[in-house]
Amino acid sequence: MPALVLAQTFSGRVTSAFYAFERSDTANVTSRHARGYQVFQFDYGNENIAFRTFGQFDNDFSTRLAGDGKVRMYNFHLALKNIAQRVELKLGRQPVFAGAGIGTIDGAQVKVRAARWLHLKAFGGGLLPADQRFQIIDELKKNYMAGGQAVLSPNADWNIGLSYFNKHQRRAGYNALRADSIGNVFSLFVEPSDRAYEFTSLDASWNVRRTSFYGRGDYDMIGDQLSRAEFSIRSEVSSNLVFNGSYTFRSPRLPWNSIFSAFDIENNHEVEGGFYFRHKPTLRFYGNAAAIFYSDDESFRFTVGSECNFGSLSFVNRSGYAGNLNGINASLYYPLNNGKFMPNAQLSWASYKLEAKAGSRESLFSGAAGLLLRPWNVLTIDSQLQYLHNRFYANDARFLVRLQYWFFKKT
Amino acid sequence: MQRRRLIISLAIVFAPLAVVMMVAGGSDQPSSWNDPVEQWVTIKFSHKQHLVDVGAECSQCHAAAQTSENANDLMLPKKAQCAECHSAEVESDCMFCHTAADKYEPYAAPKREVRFSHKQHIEASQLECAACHAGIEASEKPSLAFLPVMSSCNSCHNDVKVTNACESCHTQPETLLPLSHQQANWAKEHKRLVRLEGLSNDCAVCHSDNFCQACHADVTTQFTRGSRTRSVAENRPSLSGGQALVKPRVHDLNFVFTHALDLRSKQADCYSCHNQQTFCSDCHARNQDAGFAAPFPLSHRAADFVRLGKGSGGGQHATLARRDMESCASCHDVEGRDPVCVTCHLDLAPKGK
Repeated sequence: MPALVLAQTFSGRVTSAFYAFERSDTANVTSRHARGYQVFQFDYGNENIAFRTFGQFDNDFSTRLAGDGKVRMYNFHLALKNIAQRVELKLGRQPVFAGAGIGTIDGAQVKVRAARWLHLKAFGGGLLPADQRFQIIDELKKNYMAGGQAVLSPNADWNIGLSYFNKHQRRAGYNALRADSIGNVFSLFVEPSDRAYEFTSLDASWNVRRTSFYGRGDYDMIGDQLSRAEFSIRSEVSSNLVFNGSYTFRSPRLPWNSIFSAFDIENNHEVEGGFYFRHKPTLRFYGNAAAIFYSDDESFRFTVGSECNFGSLSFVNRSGYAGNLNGINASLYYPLNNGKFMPNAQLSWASYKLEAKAGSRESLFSGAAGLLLRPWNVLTIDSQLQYLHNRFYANDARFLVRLQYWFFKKT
Repeated sequence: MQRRRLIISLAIVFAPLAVVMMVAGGSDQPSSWNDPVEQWVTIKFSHKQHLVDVGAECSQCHAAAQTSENANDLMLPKKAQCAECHSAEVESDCMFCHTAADKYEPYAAPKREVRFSHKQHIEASQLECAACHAGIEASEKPSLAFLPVMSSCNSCHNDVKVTNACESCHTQPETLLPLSHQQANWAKEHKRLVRLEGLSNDCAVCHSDNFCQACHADVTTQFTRGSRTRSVAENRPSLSGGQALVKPRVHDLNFVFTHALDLRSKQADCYSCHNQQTFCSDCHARNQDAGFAAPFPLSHRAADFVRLGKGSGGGQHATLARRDMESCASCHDVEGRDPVCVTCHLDLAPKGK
């Protein structure tokens, strides 16, 4: 008779953070906030059973915001592993990543290793209520997502995935002021109809020598059209130099029952290319450029930067229909005493126009300086002063401190 | 014109890539762990000959490993240890061990950013050397290939046998950046691994579901009924706790003012992390005064933004809508009920089955 006594483990990570800032939603009216966050992650289990939790409590100790004092629960599930050496079953609140299907559900998810080269996954459950409240959402029949995925891996270099995703979401009503065609303003209770999506998706990746290919297609089953197609290549000239390129086709992702689906809308195309070069392990350079083609206009994205062991520097540019932006980001962090102390600083500056026709450019600046302390490997203390300057906040200073403790017990 | 430019752009990107693919062929170099590889690969040494043919024990040459409690300890044997068996050759022929006559400098100690005690793993965990240095008994020359890779650590450090908290081994987890992540657009590229979860996918070596949820948790959350002020970015600390302040943020502190640029230039799929439209309308559409208050796009103020009447073309708003409807939807989250559109477009009904 096999031994039924298995080693039990209990692990966790507890993070307490405090964030103080001032903000202004209306000219000359400011409010001060001192927000506290308590993040907790407790896992209990053994070789074949695990119970996982992950949540956050946040509150404002200065100016209370609507909805403060709630517990957000991101994970709360039981995992049964190695059922018949092939099956894993999860029950409860859990994340889902299955091709086109993505999100967090209150439900069930099953993974089956049908064969060494075939993995199957199916999931279904209710969507989460507002603020990830620790309760089951109302009207489950109208707030659900379900789907599945089959991943075929004939060898280590080939992966083909076929997935299906069905999501239905009830929408809350809200009051809004609206104007009629001659400018008369009236109050209106907007009661949106449900949102619905149904997609099938095909993903494929192939590695050959030092090059990898990836392709993806999402098909909107309700709209009866290709929603997204993507093809990308990543090629390593050597272990120090990588080039990548991609092409993306996008159809606007709209719920089929949205009024927007009734209009004559155009797709867009994107072409992107980039490189990554490791001059040496401690010094790296990268660049990336993309052009987005709309029906009658274009946008361009451009990034170039460098990273070293103790910092990074990058320049970002946006131009065309999407607006115009030039930005510089820098970060510096220097570990001392084998990582026990780490002073760090970040600077970010940008000059931008949201629209090509906008008159003057706006500028933004943000900076941060902080210190990380790790007296023992189980305890980390982060502190950071942040400063923002922009058209709305002339001088905005903020303070963030975070304590983090982790543990692992075995019985 | 647009089609022509698209084709030219595709050619500019993919033609050089095709050339790169044809010439690509560098050697697969595993990570050096900051070891002074260039020094010790100048030694002629066959582990196979010593371990298999002669039958030597690892500890005969690497005695320091038995008591080492620091990953930075230098545990390579010195010349005197070689001389215990090879006294004649060591004294008379430098090239018996060395590959080059001008490279005799002493080994530099490695600078490794990990906590590791050989002593603990040998004594307390009763591990054989080959458990981590797999395949070394077959090696004919010094190589990085036999330094353990992190996935081998995870066979025990899996939160079941032993903890897999980053800080348990890494002294500076905030600065970790695996080779696979070292590319210009990793935030965009990582989905190719996640979406397929193939056999080669080893995200779980470092990341739990909780790490992913730091970004991807809100995508299926019901519409928030709270005050609009809750929606203003607070830049709150990372959920997972594993993401350090010094890492680049997903969105910088000023992102609330520039996010329109990233949305329209398709920098990322916003709906991968945010509940599409409802997230946007928390600020953009709810309780606004007929659209005459900020946030209000400059384009909407143009004289010809709306042209009424059949045959008028609709004006600038029609052009913008055709071009990028997702941008319209981010504010005018109508779902068939809000009369922003249907005030004029009376004859339309949503598509679908």
